[in-house]
Amino acid sequence: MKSFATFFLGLHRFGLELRRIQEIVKNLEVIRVPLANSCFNGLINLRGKIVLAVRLGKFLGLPDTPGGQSLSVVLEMDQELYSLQIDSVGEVLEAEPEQEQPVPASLAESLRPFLRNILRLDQGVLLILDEEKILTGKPFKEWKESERASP
Amino acid sequence: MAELDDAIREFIIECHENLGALETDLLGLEKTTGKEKLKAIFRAFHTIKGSAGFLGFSKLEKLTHAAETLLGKLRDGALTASLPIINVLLSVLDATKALLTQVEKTGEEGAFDPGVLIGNLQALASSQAGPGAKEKTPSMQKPKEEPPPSPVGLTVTTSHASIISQEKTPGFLAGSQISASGMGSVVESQIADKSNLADATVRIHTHILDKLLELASELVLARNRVLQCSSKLNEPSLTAAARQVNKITTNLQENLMKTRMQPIRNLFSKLPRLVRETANDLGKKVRLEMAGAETELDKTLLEAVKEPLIHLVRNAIDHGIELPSRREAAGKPAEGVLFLYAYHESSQVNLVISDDGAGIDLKRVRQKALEKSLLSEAQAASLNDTAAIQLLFLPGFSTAEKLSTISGRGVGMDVVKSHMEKIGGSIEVQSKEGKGTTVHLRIPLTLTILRALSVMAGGESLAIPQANITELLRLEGEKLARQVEKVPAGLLLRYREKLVPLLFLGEILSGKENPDADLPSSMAILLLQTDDVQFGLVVDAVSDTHEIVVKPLPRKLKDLSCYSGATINSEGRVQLILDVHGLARWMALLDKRKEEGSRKEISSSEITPGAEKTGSLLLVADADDSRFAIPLEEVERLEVFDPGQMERSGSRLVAQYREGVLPLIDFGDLVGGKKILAEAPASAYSIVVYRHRGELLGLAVGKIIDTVPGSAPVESGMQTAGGIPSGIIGGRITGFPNLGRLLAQAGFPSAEAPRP
Repeated sequence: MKSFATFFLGLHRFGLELRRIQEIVKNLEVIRVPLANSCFNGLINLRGKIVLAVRLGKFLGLPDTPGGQSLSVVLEMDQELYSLQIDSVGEVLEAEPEQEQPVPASLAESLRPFLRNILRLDQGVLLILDEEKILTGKPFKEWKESERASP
Repeated sequence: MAELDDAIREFIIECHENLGALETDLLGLEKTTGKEKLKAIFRAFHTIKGSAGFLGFSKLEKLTHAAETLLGKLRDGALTASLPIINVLLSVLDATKALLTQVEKTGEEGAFDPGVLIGNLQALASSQAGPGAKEKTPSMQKPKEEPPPSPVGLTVTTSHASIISQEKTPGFLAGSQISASGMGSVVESQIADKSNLADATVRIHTHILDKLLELASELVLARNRVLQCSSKLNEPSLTAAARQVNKITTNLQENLMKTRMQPIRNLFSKLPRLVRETANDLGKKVRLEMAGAETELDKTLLEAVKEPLIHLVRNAIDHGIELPSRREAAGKPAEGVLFLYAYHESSQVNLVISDDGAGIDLKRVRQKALEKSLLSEAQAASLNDTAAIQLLFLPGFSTAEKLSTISGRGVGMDVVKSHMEKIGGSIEVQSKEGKGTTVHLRIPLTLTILRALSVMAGGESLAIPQANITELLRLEGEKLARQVEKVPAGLLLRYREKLVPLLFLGEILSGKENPDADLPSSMAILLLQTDDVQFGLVVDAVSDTHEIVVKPLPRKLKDLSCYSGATINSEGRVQLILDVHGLARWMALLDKRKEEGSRKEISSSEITPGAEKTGSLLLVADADDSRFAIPLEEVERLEVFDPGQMERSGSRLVAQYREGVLPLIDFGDLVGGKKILAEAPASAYSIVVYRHRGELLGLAVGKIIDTVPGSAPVESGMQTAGGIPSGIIGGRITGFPNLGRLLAQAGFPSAEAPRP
């Protein structure tokens, strides 16, 4: 049995395995980093630690929600802290291993690389994010290049 | 307790450090036989052996030597770590500790005889290896259950103490970690006798210290909020309490900062021996004098200056101080003096290395620079002494007649300089021929705390390290118009007889440059210096300077070379720290992009390989749009003249310029291209006012393009059609004319004798 946190970006709902989340904090001030890749919102002071805020929507091909993304889902990866910026949190779900299923090929090409798998629930399907792919994946580099060409 | 020599005291402390790690490593061998671990154990024994050898502790030396031999075989795979081997090695460890305790108490090794142990070690070392070696127990003089040999009158402890601490803090006891960082978190109390030197100090892992510092800086922020609230509420008892919290917090932070500090004595104490040996090898007499050994410095920085200091000391003895006979002939005492002096000043540690030797032979330096074609003859002649000394810092530059084992081993002054720059320090060399050389190292107090100026630009607040700021200027109205010159590619600031490029921080950060915008009516300019590049940075507003705690940027932002890190300011907000050196580089990068993107007349700084990145170059074009680069430091001013300002005087064109007459030279003539002044329809001419042998000349060029960081290439096979050496800047072939020579060939200065 695994626990999953659910959260929203706009109208879209995603899940992330609960044990990977260090904490969820509200309304932390994000300081913009000029010239940085637009995959990042900026830097956050989390009790004296500097945390890189990641614009999750950018990975998932979703438009920025005005006034949204005020919640920080803090994760640790390779001894550094990252925050996935989201709009709101939903309930915590428990799922049996057999509910976890591979990502169907029918899902949008842009989305698939960042998903670990999906959960079949009574109410429908929950997309489970692969935080490692998001934080270490190639798109960072690729986007950087294309961004530089047209600032 | 007998008075111990400093060297012995240090030896004992060092041994205890090594032994603590060794025990864990040895016990670890029972479970796994990691190659790395074996190497670490081998190294630890080797270190003890070496030090014991030169301090004259022959028993220790023999014992550790035998252990080392056995370990060597284990490491090379000739033997496998079997139980008897580990047992014997543990016994060696205990015996070593016993010997050390004795040394610490009496200064001598005492009556203990390590012969039996050595015999066991040798027996094991010569036993056969092989896959079955684990079962084979070679004949030994003592069974393994025997307690470790303990000399009369000495208490030998078991390994009990550190096994316990190993269980408690496994992370900190991992042997390699200790030897790598030199920081264990274990209170060493191996020996029952409380006189142990290691007892006076507690070793704490730097991670814990860093964590404490981090907490203290958070406390500072919390305090600030409390102070704000208390001043609002105006409640006397709260105000008093808040004040106290304030005081304690500051005190706490200051003291925590001190925990990372170590006296420079730790470094100085290594030098007497080095000086003695170096001097003996060279047949020189040198007296070493040191002062300010109590000056404290961040541990990491202390490590970082070690190499440069040793190099400089060797240099001073090898190149500086003369042979006794020479010194006497020069009327100096036969014994040379090497003086080291450390002191604190303006949040920097200053380290001065001074000798009374022959000084640097600047003639020789110039000559060497000529031989290596680093300079042209004219350049060498016009080079002042300060600039000539700077040549010493060029890679591969050495004035030594022949390479000796002492210096000249490929580590030159350039390496010393880059070492210093890496830690945010600087180096300055002064020399008087026949009197001696003084090297002044300036080292920041810590790496993690620096003084920085807060500025606003483009709506962002950034911190700029004070160390890079040479001056703050505010220009308005007429002054601004006089000191800032607009060239097609940007702005130049006229500052103390020099032209420096001017950058707008706000524009850089927004990624939107606006070259056509009118000049603002007033400008706040920071003059920044990094390496040899100087430039002005225009910001929107300047607030005050603070001590800031530098935190590294997230790895994903590391490619943004314009930031060196981030800090958390007194309001608890993240503030980016500008990397001045990185910014200079970043700008060159931006220029390149621009050229690729929109083919604007602006170029980058990809100077030909071999070029030294020092100074700035002014890029100009002739009538055919061929590119040429002129060192910006030789340029006095940029002007635009209309033909009406020019007149003919004899065979030459001149212009009225600042109550004088400025001879005009056609740049096209100089470089063998089309005439520029003759192609007359132009309503205005771009003139580079150039200083040639103390005289001002106007060079009429086709177009002024840009300034880029860099300088003329040292050597380049390429030449332009006119025979001018050339390189590539911004993807375009660019000539680097030797204007001094070309002007002289063209008959300038006209009739006057050339000035020195």
